[in-house]
Amino acid sequence: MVDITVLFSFKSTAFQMDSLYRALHPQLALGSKSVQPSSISSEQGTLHAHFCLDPKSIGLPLPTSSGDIARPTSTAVLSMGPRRLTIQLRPVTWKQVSPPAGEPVAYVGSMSSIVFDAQPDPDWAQFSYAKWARDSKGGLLLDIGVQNFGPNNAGADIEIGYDISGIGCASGPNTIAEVPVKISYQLGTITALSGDPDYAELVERKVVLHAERCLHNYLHISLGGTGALASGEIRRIRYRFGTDFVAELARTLPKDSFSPRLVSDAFVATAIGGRLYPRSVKIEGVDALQPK
Amino acid sequence: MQEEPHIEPVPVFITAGASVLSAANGFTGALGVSPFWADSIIGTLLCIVLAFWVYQLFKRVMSNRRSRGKLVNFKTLVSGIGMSAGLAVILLALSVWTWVGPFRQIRHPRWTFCGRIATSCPNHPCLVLFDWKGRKIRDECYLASDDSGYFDIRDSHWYIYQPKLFAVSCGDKVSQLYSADSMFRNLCDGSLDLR
Repeated sequence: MVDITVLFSFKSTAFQMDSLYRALHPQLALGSKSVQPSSISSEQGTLHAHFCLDPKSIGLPLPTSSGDIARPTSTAVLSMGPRRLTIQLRPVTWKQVSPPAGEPVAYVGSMSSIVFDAQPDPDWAQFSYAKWARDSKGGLLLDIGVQNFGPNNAGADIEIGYDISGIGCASGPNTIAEVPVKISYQLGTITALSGDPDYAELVERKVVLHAERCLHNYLHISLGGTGALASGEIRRIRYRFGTDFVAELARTLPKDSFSPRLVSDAFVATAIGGRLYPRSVKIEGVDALQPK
Repeated sequence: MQEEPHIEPVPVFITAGASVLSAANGFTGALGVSPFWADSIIGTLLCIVLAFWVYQLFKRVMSNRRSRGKLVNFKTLVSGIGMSAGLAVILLALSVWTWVGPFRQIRHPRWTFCGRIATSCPNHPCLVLFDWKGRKIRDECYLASDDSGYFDIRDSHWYIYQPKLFAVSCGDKVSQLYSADSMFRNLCDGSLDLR
């Protein structure tokens, strides 16, 4: 393997936060392959992201002895949220590591750290959190937090949903129930109506429910836009659900194509379009989804 | 009767010309000749002139010996050949100074200038590379290889000198000269912060 350490920091100390760096989901693209960091840490306002690469993926032959230096000619692209930064891979120096008895000799390659310091401050809005909650009357709520770091931002559309495979069942015929959702609780059908922060009138939103026995199951409910965000604005958007739609789905869908516990854990909120990062966050507060 | 000092106009003219050329090494840039070839041409010219002056010196010593039938004393020798000898020494020094570059290049023709250079230039800074005499090694401005400010510049021909100095060009502004010494490490881990 070849170890690469990428250091990244924003120009202003106000943005040199571990949580912000992590929210940008750093990853390295090599051609069509994408590599996630093997570890991430923050030291003195600088993100340290470590990546392990297969030497073949960067066109390096295996070394023949310790101390060999190989010079990759390929480039990689570091993604940090909406930013794409090209990286020319540096020379790799190989070091022999002692293998377990009976194993062939192994080598680990390392290259000098790749530094992106004093990078321009974020000019996008952060999708800070999404959380289920209950109001005093037991009504289901979803709170979403966005924070605009940059200049005026048009915001983005928010969608919630889950996408999971195989609601545990061992045998039996597969049936597909693909239904446009309307919020009348007939079998497998919901309708979502919502307003948005700029305009309170309820608008019918797009909902897609796919409940397939044993196989792929998903639900996407569009909740409308966040509304425009002024520079530096921190906004919390509260969606008030008139009903426990998860409980209703559990009641109307076949049991082997819908598991309330499983889908509750899998719910994410996703930003569609606009400059809101990360694109999706896991919805916390799963306990609030359980029927009262 | 004392012999009048005799100065031949042709060698003096050639010497003066070679010295002017040598001093004004900048002609390499004006004519688009790489410093290696410029040094080689000037060095060759200087060697020819040096040989001519040594020959003149030898002729004068021999003529003194023939005319007096004996070895001249030191004072007479200096007054007779002083100018020729002085010029020969100067030419020898100029010649050595001019040939240092080509000899060094022939011994080590391959080089890689690599490492990270952080600048305050907001948009695509590029590097102008100079040899040890402060001449551009090529009439080119080299862009960084990636977004981190990493440069990986290699000799494009065997006769391109290894750079010793560089300047950062940002738009129409060019910085002062910086030493390129830390940019020739095997692992390309040299780093310069010029912000």
